[in-house]
Amino acid sequence: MNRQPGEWEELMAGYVLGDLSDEERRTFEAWLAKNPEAHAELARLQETFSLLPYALPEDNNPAAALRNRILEASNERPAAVRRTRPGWLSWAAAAVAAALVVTLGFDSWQLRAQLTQSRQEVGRYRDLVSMLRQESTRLVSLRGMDAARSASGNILITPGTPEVVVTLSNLPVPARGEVYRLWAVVGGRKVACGEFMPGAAGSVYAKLPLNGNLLTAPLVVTREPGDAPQPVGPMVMTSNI
Amino acid sequence: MDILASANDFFGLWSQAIYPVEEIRPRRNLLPAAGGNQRNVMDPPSDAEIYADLKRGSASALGVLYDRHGRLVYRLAVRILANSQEAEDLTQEVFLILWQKKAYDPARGTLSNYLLTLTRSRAIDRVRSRGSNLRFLQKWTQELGTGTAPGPTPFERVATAEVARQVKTALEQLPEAQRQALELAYYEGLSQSEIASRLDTPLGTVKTRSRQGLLKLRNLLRDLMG
Repeated sequence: MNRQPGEWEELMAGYVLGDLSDEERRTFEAWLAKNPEAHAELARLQETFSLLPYALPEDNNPAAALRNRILEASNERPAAVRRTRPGWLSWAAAAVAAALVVTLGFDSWQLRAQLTQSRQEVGRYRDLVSMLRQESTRLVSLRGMDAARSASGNILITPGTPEVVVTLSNLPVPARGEVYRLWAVVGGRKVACGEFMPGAAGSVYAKLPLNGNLLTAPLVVTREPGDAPQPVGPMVMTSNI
Repeated sequence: MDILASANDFFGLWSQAIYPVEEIRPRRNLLPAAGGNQRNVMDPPSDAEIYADLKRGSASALGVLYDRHGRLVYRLAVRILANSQEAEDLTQEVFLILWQKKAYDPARGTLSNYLLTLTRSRAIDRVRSRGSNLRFLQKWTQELGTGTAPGPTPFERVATAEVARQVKTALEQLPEAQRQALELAYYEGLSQSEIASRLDTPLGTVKTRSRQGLLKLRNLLRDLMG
């Protein structure tokens, strides 16, 4: 491993050119791992090699129409989304038609499911907007901690209405049998305010009964075994009061 | 910091309107700056900034990046494929990959390097799949003047032309054998042993020539590369 600087330089050039023997490559990569400062020089050498085309004759240009062709093609749907065309062979036609029926059936089921989901979402947004319009609505933000550090969200509380709305995101899905519970901390004691579960993407939209403590006390979220009457699990979110 | 950030937002928006504006100064350093935002407000938006717009689905950003790099990609494709129609097809493919896959990472190098690397590897793959011998028989003939674009955009004329001038000058200063070994490695995608047999030169000699050639080129381009 005792090589002169010039030798490392030459190995580096060989590495960029892809002409090292397996042994040379292993030696060089081991050296590179121990010399992070050499990464910048390696990048420059790679960039240098990739500059060669700049020296190509400049009078050689694509047709002006190519630009439009590319922009038009970029407007089309990406290839991955395109439906495959049915085959041409007649013996396959029946199979293709059957497959098509299944596909379209599945598509329309999917569309219906998406539509239902969208309607639910719109309903939720309407609820939230109407709550936010009321002057008395209070917004308590919750911040995640420890294992749920990236979780965040709000609780919307409107005095005089029967329910509060909990909207959270990035809450980890709990282990089987566990739930998340919201507590108001009153005089050092946790008062249960309801439980909820995150959806697949870690988002929560839950309505919980309004509880007088929610308006005044600090709030925390814990992760609990489903049947525990008292808080025993770890605290995962806290309000920023 | 907030003032800086909002100024950046502002100029970020503002600069969209001036994409096509000519770059006045040659790019001194091709590699992205290690840190710090030293962008002059008069600079046109960098490739990375325009690429960020492209990732948000801006087709005009794709147009701007094509204006900046399309010719270079095409020239490289023509050089390797020796066919203008195939070269245009490949150019289109490369820009659509940029658009659809959004796999370029500005932290890892310049956009031009990414596009050229992609073009080179795809073009060499195509040549290989054509049958290796056919390629060597083909004379590189390019129908000039038929349906070609009216000339480089202002951006290209200044920035790319400056890079091109420096690269050409540097290549001219390499010993002929070193330059030849480098170009065979780059454009033909030949392994060193293939080059050795093509040039009827011992493998060790070919390796030394191309490595020394690359190192010398890197030194000659120190102005450009930093």
